[in-house]
Amino acid sequence: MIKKLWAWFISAIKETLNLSWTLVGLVIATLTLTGSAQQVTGLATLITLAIWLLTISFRKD
Amino acid sequence: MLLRICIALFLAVPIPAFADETPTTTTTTTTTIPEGQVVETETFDGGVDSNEQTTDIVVPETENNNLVNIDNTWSGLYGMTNTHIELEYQKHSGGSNDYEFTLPEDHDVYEVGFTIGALNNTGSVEYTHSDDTTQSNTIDAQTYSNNNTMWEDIVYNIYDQTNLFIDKFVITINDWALVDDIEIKYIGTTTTTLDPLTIQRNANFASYGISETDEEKGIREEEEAEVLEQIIVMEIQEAIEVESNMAETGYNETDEERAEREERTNVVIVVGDEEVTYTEKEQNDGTIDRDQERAMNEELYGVALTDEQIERGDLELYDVEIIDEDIYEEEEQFIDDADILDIEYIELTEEEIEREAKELEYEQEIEFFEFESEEKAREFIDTLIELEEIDLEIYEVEIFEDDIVVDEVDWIDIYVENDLFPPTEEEIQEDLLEVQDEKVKENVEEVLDESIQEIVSEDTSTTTLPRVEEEESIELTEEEVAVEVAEIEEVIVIEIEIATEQEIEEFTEEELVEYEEAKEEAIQEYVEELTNEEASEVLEEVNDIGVQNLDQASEEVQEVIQAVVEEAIEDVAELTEEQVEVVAEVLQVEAEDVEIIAESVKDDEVIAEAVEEYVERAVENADIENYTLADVVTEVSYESFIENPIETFVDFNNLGDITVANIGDDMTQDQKEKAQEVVVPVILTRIASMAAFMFRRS
Repeated sequence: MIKKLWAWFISAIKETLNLSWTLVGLVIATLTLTGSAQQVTGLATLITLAIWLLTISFRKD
Repeated sequence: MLLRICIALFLAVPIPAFADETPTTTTTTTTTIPEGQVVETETFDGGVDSNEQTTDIVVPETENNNLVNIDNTWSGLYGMTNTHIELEYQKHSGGSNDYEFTLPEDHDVYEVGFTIGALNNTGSVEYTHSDDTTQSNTIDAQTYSNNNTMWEDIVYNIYDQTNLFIDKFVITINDWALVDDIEIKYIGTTTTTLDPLTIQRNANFASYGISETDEEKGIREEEEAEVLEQIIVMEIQEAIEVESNMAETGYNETDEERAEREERTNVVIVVGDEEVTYTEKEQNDGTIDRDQERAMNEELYGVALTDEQIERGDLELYDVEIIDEDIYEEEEQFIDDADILDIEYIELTEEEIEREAKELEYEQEIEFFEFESEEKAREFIDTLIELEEIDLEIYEVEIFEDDIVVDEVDWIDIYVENDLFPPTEEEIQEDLLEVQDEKVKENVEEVLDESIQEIVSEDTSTTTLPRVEEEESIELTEEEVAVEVAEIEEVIVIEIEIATEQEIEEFTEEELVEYEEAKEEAIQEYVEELTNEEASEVLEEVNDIGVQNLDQASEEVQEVIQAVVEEAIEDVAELTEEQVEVVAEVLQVEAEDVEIIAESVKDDEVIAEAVEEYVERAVENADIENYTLADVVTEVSYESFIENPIETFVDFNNLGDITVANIGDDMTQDQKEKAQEVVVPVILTRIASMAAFMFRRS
């Protein structure tokens, strides 16, 4: 189990690194926005990132 | 042997005798005093009690420093005069201490001198130059023989060194010594002092674009008021004229127009023996006919009556009787005239007689015409007679018209009811422009052009008139900015003694905190006392110069402006539309965005901080074009993210209130535009990278 988790963790880091430029852009975009738009963009970014990382194995299959 | 003889001779001859006989040589040193040289001496003898400094030289602090004392204890002794400064006070040995004398920054000092006395131990003085190089000199220990001679003048001069000046000097000693008469020399600079009138002109030009003194402004405004008054009087006069002329001539016209029209339409006709001028109305109402009839009948019957009067028998009133024979008699007289031969008598009807009479009359009148033939002339006269007959028909109508009682018409009331009078601002404007054109002819168009603009600008709150000239975005020169800043500083008056940089540097931490608190309190008090109008006035002044040019204003003024902006945002609901626009211009956002900002400030810390720091950051980023509140928001947001990245992304306060429809409604237009500039490239970049990835895989 731990081994699996570790493997996922490593994959997640790799995937996140792959998304570096996109994430930088989204962070900048979020910081440029204010109010509700900022909250929605921030939340959407985090949720999407979480889904993206949780579905690594699913997408690879 | 020879050496011994020489020694013997040396001893035998008294040397003082030679010395007495040596001729005295006088060496004259010519010192050229540089042109414009200014000498300032710190005597410590200033003020009423002769114990204050006389120059701007910063001397070692005496407060909380028991090694420095300024008094007149040693006046007249050790080279001291009156008040002097005592260094290493009551100390006679041990470690040395430094005593710094900072010279005024606004002068390029090339020579420093001072008198130092009662120095028992050797000391030193180090001069620091403007290029941070130094020069150290020793101050020799002074031997006491008496207290009138134990002193020395120290002078340091670097005049010969180009572009090098003395900024300060430090005396390092370990013995109680006295210092006085610190003298500095520099070349005085010619300060261009603007005369008060030029200052007024500059200020007024910067304020409303007219270079004039306050007195000239007063005169101009008086003249403009007079012009305006004259225009109103003219309008009233014109209305009265029009009313009067309408009643008199039936034409809606001024006297001038009437004169022009009459000049065009009036005719001069010879009636009897004299020339009579008839107006258009008289031409139309049959006056000419009646006058001609009267003239003719006067000639015939000796009574000036019209034909109609004769027809109705008015001649009887004058005891005149028409006898046909009379006519024949006259005609017979012609027949009897020997000069006229073969005249055939034709019996004419009354109509024909009348026609003949008119023919004669017209022949007299149109004698200046040239006709091709007699027939043509007769044809012309016939036409005239026919026209006259038509006139006679009109005459009937005219009589009928005379019976109509025309009520007196109050044209002013009609004008007022129909909004034709009093003149609207637009009409006044047009009249002003007309007057301006007239003035152009008199070579004074410039003055009036400015006056119109002034009137328009002064009345913008109550009129819908377009400005004569749209204000152009003009980049201010440094001088203009300085004038504007001076104006802002005139408007903003806070009741606190502003400390100089030097004073602030010398503050202890506690004093600094106290000073800052007092300043903040004074600013807060000032801003709270401001009415919305006054706040708006301050912000208008800021708009005149531009927020980013406020770097030339003092820190206190910047803080006041910042506080005014914050106050305006807080009280946005109380502001008028114009005042909101002024605030919007300061923040460089749309007027409708001011309300959004005011709402956001309440629950968004980032925007609240951005508003709080807007002026300060705008001044700091003076070199960035179009630096707006949105930029400050982004900066603050970025700083907040760096400080606490998680909080920025997980700050979901009012998530429940957000709907798809209202996302972004709480963003200013400017913020949206700036966000678009970032978000769109991010999406495009992502699409491009995905496409590249797909391409590589395939």
